[in-house]
Amino acid sequence: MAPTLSSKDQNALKNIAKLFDDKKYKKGLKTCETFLKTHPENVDALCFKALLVYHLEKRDEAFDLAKNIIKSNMSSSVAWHTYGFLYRSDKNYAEASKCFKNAHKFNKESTQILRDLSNIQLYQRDLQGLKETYTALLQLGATQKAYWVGLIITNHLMGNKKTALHVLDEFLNVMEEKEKTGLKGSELTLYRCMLLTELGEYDKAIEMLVKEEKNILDKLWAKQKHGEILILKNNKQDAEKIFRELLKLNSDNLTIHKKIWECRGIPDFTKDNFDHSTLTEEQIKFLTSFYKDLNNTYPKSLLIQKVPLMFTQDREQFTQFLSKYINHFLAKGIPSLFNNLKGLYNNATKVEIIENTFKATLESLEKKSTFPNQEEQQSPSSVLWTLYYLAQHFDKLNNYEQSLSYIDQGIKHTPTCLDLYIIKAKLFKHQGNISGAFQEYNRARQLDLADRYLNTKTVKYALRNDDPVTAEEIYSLIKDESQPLWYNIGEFQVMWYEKELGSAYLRAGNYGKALKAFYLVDKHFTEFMEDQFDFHNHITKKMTLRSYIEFLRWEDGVFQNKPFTDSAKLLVQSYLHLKNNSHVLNKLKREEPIVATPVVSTTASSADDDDEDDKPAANTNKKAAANKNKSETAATPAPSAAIPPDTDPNGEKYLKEENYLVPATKFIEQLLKFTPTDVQVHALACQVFLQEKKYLLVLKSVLKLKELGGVEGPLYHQYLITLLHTAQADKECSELILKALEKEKNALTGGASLAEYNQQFANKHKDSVPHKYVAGLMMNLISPADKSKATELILDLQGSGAHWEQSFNNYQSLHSAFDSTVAEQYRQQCEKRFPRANCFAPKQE
Amino acid sequence: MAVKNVELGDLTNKNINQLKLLNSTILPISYDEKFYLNLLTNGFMTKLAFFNDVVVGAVSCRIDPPSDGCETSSLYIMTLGVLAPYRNLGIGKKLIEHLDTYCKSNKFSKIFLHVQVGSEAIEWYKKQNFQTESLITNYYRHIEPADCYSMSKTITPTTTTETNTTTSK
Repeated sequence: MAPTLSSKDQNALKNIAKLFDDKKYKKGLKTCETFLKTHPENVDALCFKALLVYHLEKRDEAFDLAKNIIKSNMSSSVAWHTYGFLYRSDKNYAEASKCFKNAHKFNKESTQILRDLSNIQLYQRDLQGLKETYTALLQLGATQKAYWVGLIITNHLMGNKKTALHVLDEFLNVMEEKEKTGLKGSELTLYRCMLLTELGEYDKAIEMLVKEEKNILDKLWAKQKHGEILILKNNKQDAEKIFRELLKLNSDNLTIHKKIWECRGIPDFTKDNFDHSTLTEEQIKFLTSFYKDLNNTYPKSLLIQKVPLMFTQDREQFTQFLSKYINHFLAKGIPSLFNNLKGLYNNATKVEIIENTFKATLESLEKKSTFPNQEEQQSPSSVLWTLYYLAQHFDKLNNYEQSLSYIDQGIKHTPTCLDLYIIKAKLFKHQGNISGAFQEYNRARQLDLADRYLNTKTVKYALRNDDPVTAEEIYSLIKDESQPLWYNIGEFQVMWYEKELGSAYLRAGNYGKALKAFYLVDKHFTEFMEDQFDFHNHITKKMTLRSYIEFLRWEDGVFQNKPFTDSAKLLVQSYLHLKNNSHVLNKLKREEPIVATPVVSTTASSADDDDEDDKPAANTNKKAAANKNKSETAATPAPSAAIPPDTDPNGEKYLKEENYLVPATKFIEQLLKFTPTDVQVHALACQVFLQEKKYLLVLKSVLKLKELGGVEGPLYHQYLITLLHTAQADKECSELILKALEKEKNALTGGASLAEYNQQFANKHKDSVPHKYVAGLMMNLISPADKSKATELILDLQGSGAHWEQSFNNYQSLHSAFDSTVAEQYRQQCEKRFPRANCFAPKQE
Repeated sequence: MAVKNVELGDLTNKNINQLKLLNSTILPISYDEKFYLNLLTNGFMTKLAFFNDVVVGAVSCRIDPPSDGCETSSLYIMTLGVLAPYRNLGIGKKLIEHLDTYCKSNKFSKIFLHVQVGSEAIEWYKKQNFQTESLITNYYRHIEPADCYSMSKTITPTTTTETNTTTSK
């Protein structure tokens, strides 16, 4: 052990600690080194030195220091704790956890070590370990609320709900009465109710809600929960009573409406693609009278007028409801009318009535400025909004000419109405005319340069139009001037920009930049995961355990979110393109200035730059960093010192990967885990695993494709046949796998050969473009002699199911799956089939 | 029809393209970039009329400083127009009323303008209490007929502020 220090030396150590806390790392290091001259063996000072060095961005040196301290102080808790800090800052949580455990071993009394350990364990969802940590913490300090809460939450997350409840009750017992009042008391009661409900203890949960009613602050939640528990108990009559009372508080809350339907055994008919003819007569009768009553009570509620449009089957009644509903929107000029009625478009009768009603409305407005069969004069803009609706209506029905005609009439009527250009842009987009869509968004944007929505939309379409230069020019108008583009989108997590930018580069074959952009999205999701660290300590102050549990559960599924899955799929695609040397389709519209890789320069200012040294700390707290940058730019126009130089502007480091399939597999596995019902994910998984010859995994995804898209689905057909063909040709493929494949094949083909089965498939679906395409591809694969017949199938774009976007993807794959001649013929066919989709225009060399 | 949904708003460098589009839709004369840039400077005054948040009309004026013939400043209407479907709703009137108030509060003595011979706008301006002053031949260079009338309206400096103070007393 080190000799005891004099009080002067102790103060010196305290001073170093303070400098570290104040983020004055340079000065701290100087003081620390002076101290070490007289006490070269002092562990505390050595540890501070390692930490200070790390924060001065000398990572490797810091790790070396820490390792050396441990070598000579194997049983020093402080040394292990410090080593753990370094790993934690390095985001190597597994190692950090090990170090903290060692630190605990040599100092069982320290709660700080255990608390640091618990944070990491919760992040890693090491629940068993976490339980042990909290138990140890409670033994050290039974009065600390945070430890109780930690133990309760841990048990809850582990599924030990009974134990969680038991610990919660113990906790409530030891809590002082005065602490159980107000917000904390209310939150704890409601959390207990949540636990009881999850345990199936419905009666106890309800009993508690009733008994504690006075003390519960979130009364709406409690009441809704009461109703929901009654539904779980199958006491639907009483449940309905409660929900009807809730309706009185807010008649426009759709959730409450749905609960009332649920009480009556009526399915949620507001869902997309719900078949309304499955509602029984009795159900419709109930709904009709229910909404008639509601409408009398709440005549102004638009939701109550909208819901009947969905369930009403009677022609006349529907027409009547519709007229009333739309007149309100048209008279007031509310643009969202189409969005409200979009859900009705899977019903042909209703679509017909909608079309007739709007046409009659337009005629009446143009002739007499009134709605049909009404006297009241309407403002001129109602004509405009009727035209606006009809344009969207015909776009939805894929009637380009009619839609365009209405939108142009609208523009002629009121050329200053920006919404019209947005609809025109959408119409163009649906037809694949991306440059047209960009122009319309840009037109609208120029009419109102202060409109953020239009600015961002225009940027997005510039990117989709393969024009990152224009996109950046427009985006520069709304972003912080002092920040370079890549820095800005990364710092502010502008994921739509990253995805579209990456996609543009992917189409242009600039894989380095494409990967660089997609990896930014991946990085943001890691940041979302790390946001958890900020909550643990805060939560015990407010006792909002309900929200906390929900938040942790949400974090568990954070990778299910669309921005992540989209970018992960694109990452896999990029790697597949790289691996297969895919044909590059598009060129960027405008050449980008060539950026040389900058030499990393150390910060120029050397005077007193303590303030600038806090970069790693700022990184852990995004918001603070963002705010800081903002305030800095406000004060000084060019704080370029705070923005690290981009050492890899072209994303070259991503291209240096030895085997592109390794990262591709990593992302595919993540996608399969979090979005197992996504057809595209399985199609990509088949491609990746085929290349890796992991046939069992391919088969797994093929079977999933069958489950999701049916036996006749083109993707199942394509990948099953590709798999069979590839595995049979592979001499190293194991007997076991071949047998499993043979079994799947025979179940499908009934013993016919692959070629025969493929031919049957083609015959059976001769009106479906996607099926013919796949049949052609497979024919070429199985029997190359039939190439001309296969080509015919592929080039035949007559029939249903053709879409320009899918065809564009096909065009790209044909270069490798077939050959460039056929690909070019395919492009020409697509150009005829989709005359407005400018991605099929001949390439200008 | 009531004009309750009409509000007046200012011209900014963000929405100036709406004024360009509006004028090019309504007026026979096209104005150049410099004309519009000037509108944002001192010495000019523009008001946009919004109907349900959509620009449907506008007036742009030049402020003429006192001169030999006139002791106080006056307002010259360079452009005024309302989109065809939105006429006869009192939107133009509301714009003129705004100019009246503006003149009164700044102690301007007159509003004047030029209007093409034969235009239906002449009658409309008369309804807004403008009077024909004189005929100017060959005023327009690129449109026919090339003659125009000069019209004006004298602003009587009402003692609004004084009456207000007296009533409040």
